[in-house]
Amino acid sequence: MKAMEGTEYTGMFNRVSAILKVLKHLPERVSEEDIEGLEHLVTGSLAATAKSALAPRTRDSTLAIFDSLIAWLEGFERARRDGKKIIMTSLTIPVELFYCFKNAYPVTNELITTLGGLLLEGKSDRYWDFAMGAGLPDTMCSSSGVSIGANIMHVDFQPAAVASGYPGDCDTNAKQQEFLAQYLGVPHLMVEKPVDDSARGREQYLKSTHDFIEKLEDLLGEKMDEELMREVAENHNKGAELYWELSDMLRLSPCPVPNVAALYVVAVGLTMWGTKEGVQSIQRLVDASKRNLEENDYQEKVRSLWCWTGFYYDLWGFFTWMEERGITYLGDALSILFPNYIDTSSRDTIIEGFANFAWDYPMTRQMGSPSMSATWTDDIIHSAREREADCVFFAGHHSCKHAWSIFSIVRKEVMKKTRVPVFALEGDTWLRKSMALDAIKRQIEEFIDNVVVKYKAKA
Amino acid sequence: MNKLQIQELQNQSEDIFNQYVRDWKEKGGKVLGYGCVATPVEIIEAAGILPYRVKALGHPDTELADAYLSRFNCRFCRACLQLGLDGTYDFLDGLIEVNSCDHMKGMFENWQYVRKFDFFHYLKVPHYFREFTLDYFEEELALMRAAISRHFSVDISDDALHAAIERQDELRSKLKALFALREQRSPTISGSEVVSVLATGSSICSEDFNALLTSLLEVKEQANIPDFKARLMLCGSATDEVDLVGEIEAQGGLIVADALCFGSRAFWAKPEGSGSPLRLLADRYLSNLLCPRMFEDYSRRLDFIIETAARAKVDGIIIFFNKFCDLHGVDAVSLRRDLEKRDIPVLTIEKEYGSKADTGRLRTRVQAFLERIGG
Repeated sequence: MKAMEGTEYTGMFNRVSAILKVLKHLPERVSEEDIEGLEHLVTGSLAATAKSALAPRTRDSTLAIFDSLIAWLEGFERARRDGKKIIMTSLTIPVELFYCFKNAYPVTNELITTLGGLLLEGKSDRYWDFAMGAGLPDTMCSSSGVSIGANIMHVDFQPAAVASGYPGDCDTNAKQQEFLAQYLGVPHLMVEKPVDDSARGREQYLKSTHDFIEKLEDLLGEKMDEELMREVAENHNKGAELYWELSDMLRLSPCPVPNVAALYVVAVGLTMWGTKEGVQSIQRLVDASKRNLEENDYQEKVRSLWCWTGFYYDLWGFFTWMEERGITYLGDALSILFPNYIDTSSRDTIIEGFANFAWDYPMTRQMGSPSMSATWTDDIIHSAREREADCVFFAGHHSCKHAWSIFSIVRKEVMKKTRVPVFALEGDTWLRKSMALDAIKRQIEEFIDNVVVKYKAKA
Repeated sequence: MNKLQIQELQNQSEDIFNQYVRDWKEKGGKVLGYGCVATPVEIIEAAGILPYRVKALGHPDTELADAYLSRFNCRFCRACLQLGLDGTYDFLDGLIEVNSCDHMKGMFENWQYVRKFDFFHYLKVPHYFREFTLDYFEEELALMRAAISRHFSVDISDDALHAAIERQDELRSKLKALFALREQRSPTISGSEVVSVLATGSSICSEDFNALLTSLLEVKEQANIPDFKARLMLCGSATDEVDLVGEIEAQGGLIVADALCFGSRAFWAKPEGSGSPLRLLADRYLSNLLCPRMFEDYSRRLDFIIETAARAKVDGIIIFFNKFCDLHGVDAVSLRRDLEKRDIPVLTIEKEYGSKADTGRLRTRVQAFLERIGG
């Protein structure tokens, strides 16, 4: 298979990086005039994204995320200059692990895909098409499929390895990561989630994590640095406290946490969890939400819980549009984390802490469970009750074969046990082409107007 | 066993609750359903229970199953679930789930949610081979043995396990002999016949399957296959579509080899070994899956296909997979690339399981492929 043609400036990572670097020049306090100017500078969907990202209720959170993403990007560039090994990693591996090495730097597939979808004119469609051009099936997952399409152009950077925690909790992504490693001719390092919630299953998961670390240490030619491990674990613990604070604020009505915060939490979790930039970002999300709480001018009408993913390629079309209609986004499965407290007393306790956090990662926790439907149902019911949801949406990505395979049970059980109405949407979380967002918006409105409002009135 | 008896036994592959299983049940026998070749049937047989691999013979419409599995799930699993929900599989005394793939997991979960078998056991199979995953799988087999033993009040002794292992070894050597008949220069058995035999074998006990194979080998050694255009190998996802294989052969492409789980992947590369029966079984099964659900195993899968293709002197390989089966769909891209690098022509077909609507399209693509490879 011939490598896709491309130049330095056609690579998705390079294009996204260039835009982030421009955003670095935004002033610390962005005024309405600045935003107006920005809208004239960029066009089409990008202008809508910019306007949405910098809407008053969202602005501080967005600037916080921009700052940390820029810091992460600068870290990437430093790492390359210093000859560190870049590891292409993915959603289900604790990104903290890589920050415990002096000689490694992580780039997360799903983050690159998401940034491409948000920041690029034409979204990330072109890179998906490259993946299709290589013969990959259109039923696979776009979360890393887009990034794979970008990677096989060989113009951004060459990772030293591909890391994946998908075996056991998502077939399609597990296979995609293996394919990418094979295609690039680099090692494929894995953690397997056993479909076993017993103590034996946890022990097996820990063994798999240790096995992964050993392989990574061999690749990098260094042991995990205990000083760095402690620093990362302490940052993890600070991040966990802040996350729970943010989570508590999601229970308030009207909700002070902007809708888009869910996406930003995912970005931090995937990219810089365990770093000081990660802690700062969550701190700023908390602070921004507190300011919203003080201002208290949000007209909340409906509180919606998204039990799987959301739609991540159009901030205005999805998050801000809902907010303008008083529809609160209480989070989705990707942003509902279960960060634990890590005991930093030894190397082993820290590794166990990372593994415990990853055990409860989105999707790993539910689809890697011996009963996917029971675990997922429990999680939805817990979140719906805790966050006082008026309705639950399932954004059913066609590639989520596991979720779709048991969603019928989940819907039935959630509605039976909570009476909260549940609605299934079809569409691709990262690609606009499978279903127009306008059609999705119409369905959301119809469901809320005809079902949720009546349910709320009865309740 | 005469030709008529052979035919009768082979016909068992056309019916889910076939006469063989009816007779077994009438005699008071128990039947356990399983869905994946990662299930060590030796343990079930050692308990005196008939292991029955779940199939969707007849490719039913899936209106009941579609209320549970979605249209984004593989139709093979939907068709199996349909038969589970419509009562066809009510003769089963229990189910053994394996985490084969996301579709299969969903199929079993829904099946159990609706039908609520008294015996439902989840056998957890690791996704890669290491010493610690082998240890885990051995423990899993011990749990499966204990669960069957407890529920059905039977003792599963080591001796019974060793005897069941020996019977499977015997089966394996006979199946290899059968496969040699189609790999030879003038094949004497067709690919559709082989799939049908394997489907039959997955619903009768090993003792009777051994007898069937002995007789079949005698008959087939003398058989003759009419002219064909090319020798093909078939690889891909789980299917019991005897009719599909027959359709390919009707175009002139004789299937002389395969890498299917209703085919060679179910038995070919199981290593010899000794020791405790559970360790032996764990090792044999975990290291023998040759399925893309396994990781760090691609080169072994590729080598297996290359060696088989060379032995059977195939003119080309067809890789087919069910729509939405990403494990095979993604793997097929690498396989195609690596096989074509070795000048082995490859046709990749994404298909809907059991869909008559696909037949014309498949026929045309196979015909074009045969023309391409000069058949």
